[in-house]
Amino acid sequence: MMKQFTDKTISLSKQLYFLQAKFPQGRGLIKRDKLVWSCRLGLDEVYGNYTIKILYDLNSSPKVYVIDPNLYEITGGIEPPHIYIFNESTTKLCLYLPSSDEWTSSKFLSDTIVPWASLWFMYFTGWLATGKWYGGGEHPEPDESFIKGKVL
Amino acid sequence: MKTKLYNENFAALSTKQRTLFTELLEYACQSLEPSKTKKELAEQRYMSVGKWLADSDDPMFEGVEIYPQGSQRIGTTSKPVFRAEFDLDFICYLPNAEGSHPDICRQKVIARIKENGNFEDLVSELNRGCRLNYADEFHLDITPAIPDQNNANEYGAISVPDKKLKEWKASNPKGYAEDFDLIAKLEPKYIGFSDRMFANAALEAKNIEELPKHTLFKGILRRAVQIMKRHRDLLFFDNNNYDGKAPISIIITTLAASAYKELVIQQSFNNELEVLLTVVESMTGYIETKVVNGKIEMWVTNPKNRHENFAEKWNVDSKRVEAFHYWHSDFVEKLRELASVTLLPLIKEKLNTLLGEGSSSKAIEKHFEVLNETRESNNLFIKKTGAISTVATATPVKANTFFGK
Repeated sequence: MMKQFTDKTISLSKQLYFLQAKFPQGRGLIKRDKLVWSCRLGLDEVYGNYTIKILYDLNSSPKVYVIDPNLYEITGGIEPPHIYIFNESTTKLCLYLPSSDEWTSSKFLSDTIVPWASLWFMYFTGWLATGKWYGGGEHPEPDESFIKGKVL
Repeated sequence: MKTKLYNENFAALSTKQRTLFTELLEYACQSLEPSKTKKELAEQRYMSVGKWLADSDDPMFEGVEIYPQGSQRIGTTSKPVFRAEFDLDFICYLPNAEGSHPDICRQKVIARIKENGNFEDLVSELNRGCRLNYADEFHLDITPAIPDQNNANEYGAISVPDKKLKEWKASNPKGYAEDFDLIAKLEPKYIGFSDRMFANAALEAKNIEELPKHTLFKGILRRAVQIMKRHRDLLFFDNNNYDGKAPISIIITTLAASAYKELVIQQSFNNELEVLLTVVESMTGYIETKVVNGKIEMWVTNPKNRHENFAEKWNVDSKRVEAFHYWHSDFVEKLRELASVTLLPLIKEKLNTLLGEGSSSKAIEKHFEVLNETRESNNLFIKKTGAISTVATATPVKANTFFGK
């Protein structure tokens, strides 16, 4: 899953610099080699406004949480597609195909993760409207433990 | 002209929001029309009926011509509610049947169609003619007609059997349709946007996306009529209070066309949505009051025959007048409510009540299809605010694959 740590890897400080440059309303810091950045994405009156939080360090892939509004309350607990964690307190989005080069540590969060989050919210409102996900994507393989436990 | 509906509810909305409404209404209307394949199939079918009639040895069928009339001819078809078949209306013009009794004429047409094994099981009798029922596709309703017997003395005039099949009655679907086409072709004037100014504005504009799209509706008049008919169908479906009293399409179409014709000449508009809403709001003003034989009558006059009152029944059945106004005020109210919401899921709910669940879903779906085409051609960008836009910024939206459950 982890990409090769190469010379092309973009440092956390550079990541933060570009996040702030492109989305000045965001706030972030780097603490103990971890980048924490939160930002309001004002899509518009049709698609709504959202606050996301990105957690990232150079040893793992970025994690994207929805801080506001509480999507669990909005959907009445019905889980939208393409989501890692969905409960009362946590909403974690899946925005790209792991182990593809859609995301690598040599890419800018501001050019990938953030626009994908906005795009996710657009499809999310479409899903709220009709119950259909118009954004495409892939669904993971069935859980490994499930396959292991399967009685043949 | 009344512009209260627009001014009080839509004028203050953002251009983006209004454009979205226009777009969604347009897509919903597209979903109410028969597909291209269905249209072609219908054409093949009615042509083959025409050929079959023409091949008859009976001299009555000599020179027979079948042509579309009504909503499919003028492009205002609206899919029936909870039924798969579209209603398509045709005239079966029989120049050689002049002098025959309307009911005999009708019976001969039915008999001839039934002689063909392909049609036999599809035919059923209608008041004025007959219907070929192609399940899940369409009903072809065929009305026999002969040359004008009523001295209408104008292009396209014919005579069709009256409801009781006792006599021939004046009709002119061709003339009506050509008149409607001419009105629908009239282009509204837009404030501050003559063609040249529009081009300059586009060049100067920082944000092209914000410009009103003047050609988004496939003909504002046609779309207005389709939306109105659709809403009528939904409103009166299973409505026992007004059973059989719903305003007929020709009344809605004629009033809308009269309003449109006058207002595109008299007034300038900010955008297409304003035109549509003004047509809706103004149309009731074209119901006329006439004194006929000392009695006051309500009239929706046939523009091609000033002696024909499309609202004839209103004068003997006040429930129909009531039904018309019940429909019109409900329609205006639903449009007003549409303007009161901004978030997409709420817009969808309002569209449900206006046009039905199916067509509003299709409209949303089409909206995302268009977004996805832009996404796939890498023409989406993100603004500093986080909004996704088609206007180029420094940050294009790169290709991604949403993953997870």
